[in-house]
Amino acid sequence: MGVKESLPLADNQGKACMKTLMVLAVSTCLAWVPAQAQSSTEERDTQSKLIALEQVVRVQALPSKDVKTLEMFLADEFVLVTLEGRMESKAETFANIQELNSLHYVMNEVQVRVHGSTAIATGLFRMSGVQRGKPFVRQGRFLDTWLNHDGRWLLISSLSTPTG
Amino acid sequence: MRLAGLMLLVMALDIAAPAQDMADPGTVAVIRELEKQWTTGHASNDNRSLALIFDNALVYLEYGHLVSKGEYLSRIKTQASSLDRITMESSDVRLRGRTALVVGIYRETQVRSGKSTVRRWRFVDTWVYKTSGWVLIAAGAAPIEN
Repeated sequence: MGVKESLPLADNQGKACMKTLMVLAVSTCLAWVPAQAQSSTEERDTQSKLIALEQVVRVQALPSKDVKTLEMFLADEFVLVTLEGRMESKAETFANIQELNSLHYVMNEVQVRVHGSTAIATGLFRMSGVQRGKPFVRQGRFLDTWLNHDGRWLLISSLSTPTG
Repeated sequence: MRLAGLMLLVMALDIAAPAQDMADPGTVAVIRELEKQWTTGHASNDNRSLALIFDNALVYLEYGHLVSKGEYLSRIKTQASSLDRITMESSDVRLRGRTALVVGIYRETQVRSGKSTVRRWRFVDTWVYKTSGWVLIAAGAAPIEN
């Protein structure tokens, strides 16, 4: 008899547990949907921000030798790999920029992929100008790694490679 | 009660994870090992092991073209393994939190129509630490001009 009495009790406990789990599952799903939506909105915002930063660094600051702006967005440990496969530090990059007599820089097909506080930007570029009195035209594809440090996006590496 | 305990454990793990020190020599060794796995996997057409270390959103810059993870892996699967050989010359691992940059030089030997050509490339690989461990999110190389 005692066993029989205890069975409905166990059944009720099971039902209650099932109900709790269902409530938890539904609330988790409801919480997940806005979180995901927020996440993709944040990702889109970051992508737009980094495309704008690429424009500032490559199309504006570089041709105008605006070292002050470049200093803001290039990390101290920044490393550049040039089209010719040379490696340059931040200081070497700045020194080479000073040797430019003129520069016209165009970029397109810029894409950004965000991985939390790290982002990868790629795009095509064409630059023409005069360096140490010699005219040049170079084109290729770039691959940049950005890192978010204390809310600020900093460029930590940039690689350029020929497209053809 | 068990559920609450499990939730607390998950929360504790989540809090503890960012506190891990990624700048230790052990992490550098892990990244070097992953780079080695990539070279070995490439040479032996082992796209299954490569799939584990490549992020799904991998950006691979190969001979100036953007290649996705899927495209790279399907090419590796069908590529004749004896034709291309990659030899690492030097590499430097730079850690910054959950991001690792590997900058270095490799030598690529290609055999086409019985003729062997050697080219040296300077590369930059970007790894990030995700829930599954370190994964490659971007890689590219520029040919070194003599």
